[in-house]
Amino acid sequence: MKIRPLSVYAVAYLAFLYVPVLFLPIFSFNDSAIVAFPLKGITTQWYDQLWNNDAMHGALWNSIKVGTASAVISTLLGICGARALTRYTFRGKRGMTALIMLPLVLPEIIVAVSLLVVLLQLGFSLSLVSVTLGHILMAIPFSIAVLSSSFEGFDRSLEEASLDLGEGPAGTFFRVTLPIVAPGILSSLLITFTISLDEFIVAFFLTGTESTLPIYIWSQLRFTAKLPHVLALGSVLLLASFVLLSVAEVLRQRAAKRVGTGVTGGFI
Amino acid sequence: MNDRAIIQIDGVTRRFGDFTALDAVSVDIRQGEFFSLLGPSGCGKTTLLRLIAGFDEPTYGAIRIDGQDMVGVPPNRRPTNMVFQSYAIFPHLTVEENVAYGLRRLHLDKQERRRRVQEALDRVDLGHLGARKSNEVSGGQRQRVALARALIMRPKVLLLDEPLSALDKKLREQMQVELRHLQRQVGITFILVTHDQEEALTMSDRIAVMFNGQIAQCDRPEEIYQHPRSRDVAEFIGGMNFLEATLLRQSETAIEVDVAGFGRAELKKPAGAVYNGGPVTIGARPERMTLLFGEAPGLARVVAGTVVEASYYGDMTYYSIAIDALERPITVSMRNTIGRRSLVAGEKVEIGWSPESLVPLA
Repeated sequence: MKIRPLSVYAVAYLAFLYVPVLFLPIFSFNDSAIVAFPLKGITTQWYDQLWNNDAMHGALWNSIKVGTASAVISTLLGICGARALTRYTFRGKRGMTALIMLPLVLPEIIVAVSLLVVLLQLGFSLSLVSVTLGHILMAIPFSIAVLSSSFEGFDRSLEEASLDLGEGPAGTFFRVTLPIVAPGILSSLLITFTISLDEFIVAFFLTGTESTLPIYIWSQLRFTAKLPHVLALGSVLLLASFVLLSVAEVLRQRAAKRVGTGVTGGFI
Repeated sequence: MNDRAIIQIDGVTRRFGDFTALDAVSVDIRQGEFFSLLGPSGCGKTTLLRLIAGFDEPTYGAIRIDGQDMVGVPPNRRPTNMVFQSYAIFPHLTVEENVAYGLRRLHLDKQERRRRVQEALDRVDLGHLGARKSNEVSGGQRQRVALARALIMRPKVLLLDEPLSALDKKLREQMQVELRHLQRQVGITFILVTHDQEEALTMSDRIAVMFNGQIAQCDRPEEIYQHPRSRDVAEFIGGMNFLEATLLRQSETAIEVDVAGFGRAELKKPAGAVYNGGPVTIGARPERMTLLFGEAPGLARVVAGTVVEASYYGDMTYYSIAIDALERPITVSMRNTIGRRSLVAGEKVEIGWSPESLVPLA
């Protein structure tokens, strides 16, 4: 087989992207506090320590609270936004869409600092609530992108057919609209939850005394002895994100199939 | 079918901003008839259907179904059901669940419910496909599902919005026959929206031809075809030659005209038509004239011409024939029966016609 230069490039590229990430789980099982080859032996002690660490529990619980709130609120807002964008035409629609999607490309640190300044000026005290507000802002573009793909091509006449067959507006929503878009909504919930779970910069600037998981990880990095324990936590986070996003993508594809638009590419 | 009106459309106007989609339309649709709304896209036919279904409300005017005023009544409380152009089959339900969708509200017991669903499926020849997922059936079958789902509700009026436009030609022709048959069987009034003149002619008891938000003519298919009132109607339905004529005389029932290239003729005056001495447009269907292949003329009158072009359609050939007195050639069609040869461009030919070939247009 002839080796093409582009194939070599592709392999090198993927390796550069993912090999460092793979070191994380590998070293999390290493029986040594020093992160270096050769591995000393296999152990699950870092995971045990992690499991019995109260500070970690607190951070995890905070992350779950913030993640759940951000997911629910940004998905609710996303439903409204995606429905408006896919069903109606109105003045300024393009500009508005661009503004909603902008946080995707804005440097996160700029967003975080501006939010910090505004919230402080408004007299807000920093807490998990302010982190949640920031995460909602970051998550809405994703929510809208996912939901648009499941609302796009939602045939209006399906709702009309339901009304025509004697069902009222509420019945139509529960028997037709909701079942058809439900996979999309679930997918949006999972994605936005994952985004909040993994987010560091906004959380770092906007949190008060309570820390979320990524902040907890960052704070632990100062102690060399804690490094393997951070690696273990990082591996768990990695796995959780991977599973959540995979499920979300499967749901999104199912949603798109259901409304009959077919699946094209990723969700953005 | 009887003459009782099941639907009365009374001076209905629908405006969307500056655009008038329907302009003071009035028509009665009779109990049990197959009624078609025919016209080009944008003529208002779908708007009218949606007003009847209740998806939209008229700006002015009244719609009565079975004597009851329908203004303000939502679609779920109207005795109408609709077959949508896209069929609107619920993608998350099976064929059976789709058909049974509207029964939920009737609170039938399980057995009666199952019996009705099976009956509805059998009626459209889908008895064996009930358990299929709705995205696993073909286009033609989806259409049958939509029909069964609407008919199971036993509506007073079934509304069909271009139901055959998504099917291929063969299937479409088959469904035309089946729909007509089904309508006779169930005896429900059908209102069909279509832009396909052939479909309207073959299926309907009556046709309303619409242009620019108004009904141009409402009549039986034969009347619409043989006696179109206006040039628009004549042009939209079938092929038509248009000839200029001058009015010589008119009485209550007849007009005498001098038709360019053809000569004098006395024609039946269309009911309600008013002519005030100016030029009159005369229509002549291609198949209402004949080419004389040397045989003795069966028709009283003859015009001489030259074949410009022959278009072969298999069963028919359409000849474009130049006549000295006319600027543009006229079209005459001939059935390709046994022993009849085809003419070629440049051949001299005689066209036989009679006053019955000609229709005065308003």
